Amino acid sequence: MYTVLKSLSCGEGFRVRSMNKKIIHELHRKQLEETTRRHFLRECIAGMGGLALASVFGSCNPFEKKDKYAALLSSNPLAPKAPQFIPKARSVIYLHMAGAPSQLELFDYKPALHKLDGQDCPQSLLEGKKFAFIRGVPKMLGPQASFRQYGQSGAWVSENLPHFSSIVDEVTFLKAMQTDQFNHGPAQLLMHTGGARLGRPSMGSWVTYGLGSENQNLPGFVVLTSGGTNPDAGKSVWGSGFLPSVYQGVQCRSEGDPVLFIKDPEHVTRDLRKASIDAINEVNKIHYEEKGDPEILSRIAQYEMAYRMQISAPEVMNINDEPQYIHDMYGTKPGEVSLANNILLARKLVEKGVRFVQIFDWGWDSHGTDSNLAIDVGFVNKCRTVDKAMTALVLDLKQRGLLDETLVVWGGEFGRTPMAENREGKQNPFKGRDHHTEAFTIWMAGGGIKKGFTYGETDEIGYSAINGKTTPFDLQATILNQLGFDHEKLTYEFQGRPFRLTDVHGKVIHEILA
Amino acid sequence: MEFIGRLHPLLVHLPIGILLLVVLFEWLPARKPYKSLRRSIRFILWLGFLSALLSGITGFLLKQNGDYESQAVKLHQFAGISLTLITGVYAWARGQKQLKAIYKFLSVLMLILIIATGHLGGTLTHGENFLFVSASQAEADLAQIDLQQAHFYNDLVKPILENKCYSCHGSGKQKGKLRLDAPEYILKGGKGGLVLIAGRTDESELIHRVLLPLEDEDHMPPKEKAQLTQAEAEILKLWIASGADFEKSILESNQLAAIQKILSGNKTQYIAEVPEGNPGAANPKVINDLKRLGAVVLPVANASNYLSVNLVNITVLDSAVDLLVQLKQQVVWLKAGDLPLNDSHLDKLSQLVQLTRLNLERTSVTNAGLSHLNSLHQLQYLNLNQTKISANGLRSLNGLKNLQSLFIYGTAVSVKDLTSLQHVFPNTKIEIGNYVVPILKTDTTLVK
Repeated sequence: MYTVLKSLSCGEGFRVRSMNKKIIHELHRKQLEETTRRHFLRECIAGMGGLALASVFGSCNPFEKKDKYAALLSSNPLAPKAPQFIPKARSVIYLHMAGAPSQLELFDYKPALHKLDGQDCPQSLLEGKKFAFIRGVPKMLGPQASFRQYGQSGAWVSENLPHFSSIVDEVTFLKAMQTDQFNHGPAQLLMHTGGARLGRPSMGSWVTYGLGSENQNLPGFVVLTSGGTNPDAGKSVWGSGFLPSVYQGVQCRSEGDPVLFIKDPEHVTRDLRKASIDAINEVNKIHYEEKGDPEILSRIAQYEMAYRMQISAPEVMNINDEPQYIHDMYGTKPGEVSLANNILLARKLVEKGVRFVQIFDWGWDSHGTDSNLAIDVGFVNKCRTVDKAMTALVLDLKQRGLLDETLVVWGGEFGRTPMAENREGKQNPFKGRDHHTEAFTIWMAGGGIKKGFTYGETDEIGYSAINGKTTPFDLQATILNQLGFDHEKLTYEFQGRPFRLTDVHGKVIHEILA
Repeated sequence: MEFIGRLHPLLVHLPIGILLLVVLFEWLPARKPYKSLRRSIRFILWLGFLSALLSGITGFLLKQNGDYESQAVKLHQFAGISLTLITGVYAWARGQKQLKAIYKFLSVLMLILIIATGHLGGTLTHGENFLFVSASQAEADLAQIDLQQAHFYNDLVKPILENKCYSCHGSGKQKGKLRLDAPEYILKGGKGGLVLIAGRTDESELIHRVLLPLEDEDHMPPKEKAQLTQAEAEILKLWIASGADFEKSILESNQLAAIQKILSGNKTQYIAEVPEGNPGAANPKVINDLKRLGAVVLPVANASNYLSVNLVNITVLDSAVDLLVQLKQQVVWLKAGDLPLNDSHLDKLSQLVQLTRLNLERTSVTNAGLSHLNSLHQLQYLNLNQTKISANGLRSLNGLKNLQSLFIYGTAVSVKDLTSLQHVFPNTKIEIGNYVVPILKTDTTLVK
């Protein structure tokens, strides 16, 4: 800090010095406040009370913490780290269609369902089952799109994805995904954090915790959202849970400044900004040495990263400079908030060494309650917003030599019923399907996954997975495996026991590995 | 009756605990403060005798179920009965003052019998050498085998069965009347008939059950026991598919390549292979200097000496290249894209002979510099996207015999050049890119 001060010109030096004084003063005040509080506690709480308290907070023993994080203090928590074994993928782009797209109108072709269209759903499919909105006896709903086989692999793809059908030989479909959550929030949490309830770290956080950030000028884990709202589960789907918060996803905007307030205020020079951040970090370090709270380390790392991001982020996050043919390929229009723009951004970020890009697009919840949520209207339009961009993404990664080291995952949080939704027992105004946990499709490409392959199978009406069943835990285990981690060994000590992304579940889906 | 028999494994812990207490109480009162303990010994002894008797009866009933029939069970039974008898004698003797001299002797005898009975029982449930050999140790051994010499059944299949199956289907216990600890038993099958049909993996219960999903009731080994690893299951499958021969060596059964593939598992199929062997640790000072310049230098995996280097935020390129040359034995992956890297840098980088992956996209390299790369015999992946190179320069790269993928998107190389280039690189996938996603009317129109 002082070398920086010396190098500053007189005028600025003065400003910095006076600012430093202010901050140091603030620190002293804080210290005094805490001393009084500690004094109060020591005097007033009887010895036994203190003992009881110590046992309650046994897992956050301050002495233990200090040892555990002493090493961290000397190093940056976001420093790049080596994986457990040699990885096949270096980065992940996860495209989450929040709301859950219908597998029956995209990939899981069920001609038998056509014949049942409009008939009452047999009791055997309803007994003992719970649905989010279906009540009583719903009617079956045949596929609302026509299908054809494509590529050498002969994968079935619907007319809703005319572009994607040209790259089926690059991807692996998991057609028998199953989950146990039929509401959006819990299902999204399960998909991304390995638990249906709040409080666990997301997949990207685990990856950043394990690998750090390859490009120190950018976050290791970036989140991009579109579709008008955040996913139903809120920001917890990219939260860091009990991991230090430095590992949480950094949400960036695809319009205007990528991160709010990324520009320096007027009249604040770069040097001044650097000096003030150094001063703040110096104080934080003193504070950390006293308290041993790892969150202070997160703070320091985030200040430093923010400073570096001020330069690099606007440049990487800007899709304006991409050539026209790339915009034509992705169907992007600079300046608007769109899924396509986010997908192009994801490619740029991965190219610059970002490990995990999480894209959420809201609006895939085709219940049939209005035309936007109709399987033959709004859903088709949603498909058009993603089809071209995701196809371009796979091809662009391929030509850039990035596909073999970038794992692309596309899917929702659950599937949709082969029955038409009948909310409150009445037929919905538009064609739609309810949430369904027993079968849905996701696809993966690149990152050491087989090309032109399908794993898993559903019954003849697509109601239930019958073969090659996979779960969100299996998917998580597989993603970690491709990045060079044994999902059972990437753990974090919390509340007295090691935690992992897949909890006590998950098996790597070896069948789909190239 | 069967149910009562199954209580045996639960009940046996009572006499063990109670009688050990007796031994303790017998010996402790030698020290004064514990003297009063003596008075309770007789009561505890009778209690222990009763529980031993109960364990014996349930044990006998369990044996009637039929899963257990062997020498080991007989031994366990003999030890158990002896223990009960000695306990009875001891309990009676503890009431006779004139026998005081042999109390301690009896307690030691009893202790020995407790240990013997307990250990024999434990062997029955957990398998023969469960005490000393951990499951992971046994698994590691599979990788140590010299496949050229090895015997398919004895050296590969048998150890798997031994570790994962014998504890329930062996000499001690025969669940479902099945034993797997010798060829004749394997061929005999169990309660449900044959378990092995040579050459037919689908119909062989032995492998069918292993491959069932873990949740399936019939899955083997049972959910709570140690499972077969992926490689172990595949070896078992291969053995059955290739005829389930008990005599042949691996070479004789012509399965060497297949087994090598299974055993190497995920270890070899990486985006670009890392060379075999160990290059020795790199000079940490060089690594630190390189890091200080903004490079990311990491082992390719924990505990590997091979390095992956990304020059992503490099500040002084010339010094970075010089430092890299000092790591020439270790660096296998190098990302040097988006930098003003030129032909003279390439000349120096040509010393990095271990390189398998090299990214040079959007650098200033030209045709003239490419020939330097010919010394990189290990190179499998080369990215020259958006550089000033052309087909002529690429032709000089004919020394790269291991090259698997070559990226030349956004260069002067045209589609016409591709055919002739493919002759120079017969085994290489050349990616020229320029993919177009067509503009369709439906891209921008909306359904209403």
